[in-house]
Amino acid sequence: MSAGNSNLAQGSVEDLLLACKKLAQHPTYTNAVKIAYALDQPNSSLKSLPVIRITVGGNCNTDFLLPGLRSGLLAAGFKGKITSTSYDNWMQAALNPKTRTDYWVIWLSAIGASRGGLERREMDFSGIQNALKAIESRGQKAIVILPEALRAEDDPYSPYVRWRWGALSKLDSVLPSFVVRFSAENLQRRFNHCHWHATRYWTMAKCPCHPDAATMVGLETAKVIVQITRPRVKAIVVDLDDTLWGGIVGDDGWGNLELDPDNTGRPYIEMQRFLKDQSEAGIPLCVVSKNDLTLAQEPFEKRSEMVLSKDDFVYFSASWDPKYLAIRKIAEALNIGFDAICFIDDSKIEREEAKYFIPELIIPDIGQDPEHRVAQLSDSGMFMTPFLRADDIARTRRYKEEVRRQDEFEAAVSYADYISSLKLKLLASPICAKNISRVASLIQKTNQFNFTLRRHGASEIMKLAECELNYAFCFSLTDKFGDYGIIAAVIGVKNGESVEIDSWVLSCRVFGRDVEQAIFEHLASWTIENDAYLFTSCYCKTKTNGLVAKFLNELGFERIDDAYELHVKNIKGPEHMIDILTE
Amino acid sequence: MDQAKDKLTAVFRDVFKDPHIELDMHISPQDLPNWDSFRHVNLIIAIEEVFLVELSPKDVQNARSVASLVEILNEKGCGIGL
Repeated sequence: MSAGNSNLAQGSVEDLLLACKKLAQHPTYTNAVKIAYALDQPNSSLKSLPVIRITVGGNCNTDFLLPGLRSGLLAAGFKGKITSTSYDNWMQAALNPKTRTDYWVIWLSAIGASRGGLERREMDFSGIQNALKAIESRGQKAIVILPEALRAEDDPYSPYVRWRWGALSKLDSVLPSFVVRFSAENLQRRFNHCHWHATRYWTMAKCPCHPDAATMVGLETAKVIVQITRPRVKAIVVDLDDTLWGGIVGDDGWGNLELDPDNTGRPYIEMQRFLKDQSEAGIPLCVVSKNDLTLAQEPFEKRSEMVLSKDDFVYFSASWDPKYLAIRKIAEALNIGFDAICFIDDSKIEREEAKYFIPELIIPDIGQDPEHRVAQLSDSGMFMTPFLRADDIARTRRYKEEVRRQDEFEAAVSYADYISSLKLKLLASPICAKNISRVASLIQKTNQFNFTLRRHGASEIMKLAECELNYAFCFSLTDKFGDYGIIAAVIGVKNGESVEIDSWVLSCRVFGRDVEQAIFEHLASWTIENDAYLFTSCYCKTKTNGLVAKFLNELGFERIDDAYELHVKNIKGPEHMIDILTE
Repeated sequence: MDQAKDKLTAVFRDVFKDPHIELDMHISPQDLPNWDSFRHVNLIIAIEEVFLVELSPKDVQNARSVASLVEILNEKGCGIGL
């Protein structure tokens, strides 16, 4: 009853949606009623919403379900046109061929079946079955809310326990297979069992639980209906590093990834289990990772804790290209619309980039804390599978067979436009005591974008940096979304007219955004200002730093014996769209 | 200022969708034409939420006028001065 809600009826659609969001966090009947009342007022923006027709009924007064149900539908962008059948009258309505509806929500409450918890009577199973068969014959869908736990069952030996379990098992056998079975027991636990039970509301109004609890049931039922109505997630595209395991395989090595189920690896294993379940329910999984292909596959081959195997993926893309390119290929190869593809990535940068290029993608805003991610995904309701058809189960296999290599194609939106929209800013700061600990850790830990793999300690770095002849800078990056912190360090040792690149490391999470080009420009202008004209560098090739070779080549370096050289006059480009500032 | 009275007034205005209701002891279902049994339950739900009390079915049955409702609530320590 907060004052802030009182003008909801005159409020905008945004206000209504905000109220729905608050309701989902804290369901109260009175607030749901306010939303429902606002929905009854003329509002032109709500007219365009798609309508779902629902008939509700059961062995109790189901009117208390309606405000929550309507709010839940609104939150998902639907307008519920809901008819309530009178108390215990749903079977007659179901048998009536004139009843027109898309969905039935039938609440077979335990409190209703036991006449208020007073009698352990047999439910009318054959009546229920016949009514549901009639619903099925008209092609209407049905959700049955199964008998909930009674307060009497707090005593685990109560005769009501056996009575209700008997009813549940009988119901399971008589309910036709098209019926979605909705168990309220989990909601009872979540809601706080004591608050759920409020027999005074049964006595005064035949409401099977506290009206606040009925609101929650309404909200959850709405999720199920939306899930059946809406095209569901048909494919999942998932990132690897810090999503399927903790750590970066290219930097930390496959052996050091967090995958211990009894330790910090648990949430990652949980994510893998969740995805495996989705795969088994017919949603094909695809990997799109910024990685070296061989390295990206190593954990699957070498870490026994992995729940997912390479065979669980119908598509495996590991490259340094922007992710939307691979997602486009996947959509084409699987012949699935973008609006049915869910992209799961721990990095906000990657999510924003994908959303920019493919706005239709379903991109859950999974948080930084891996602990909550699976719960967030499952709470979204997107992955609820009320029906599991044989067809679903076969689908993953079929997709795998259909995937084939697609030809390169032109990007509809240029990558350059995207990079410029990010408004990247690079700040070059001389390496000094202020930043040395981060610089040293970058130099010691970076394995992928690392020219020479010289692992200087902090004191060696400081010695190189303090020599006035040398170039020693670290770089921090910001974009319109925020600050990445220090992401690169370069040390150039000046030797007469040449500058030897002693160390160059770049965090791979920003690689491929022209940052490396901008850094080279900074180094090159310093070199020219300091009357040198030749760059030299050694390149220590390892299994993990193949992308450095590609980059050297792009810059125009030539291989001479064991070293790489580039004359200032031969600099190509570099091309980038990043503002560079020097501190 | 009688806060409890204002809270009760706000509940009535909300439930009966009439921002002009002024409570007095004589109001009964005859004065508020949409004070039907369903609205009555809605009134009780809102009162329980706002005053953090529980009304028994007997209370609910007896509370069918402002006067008796206030009496019942004041017995539970709500302190409504009306």
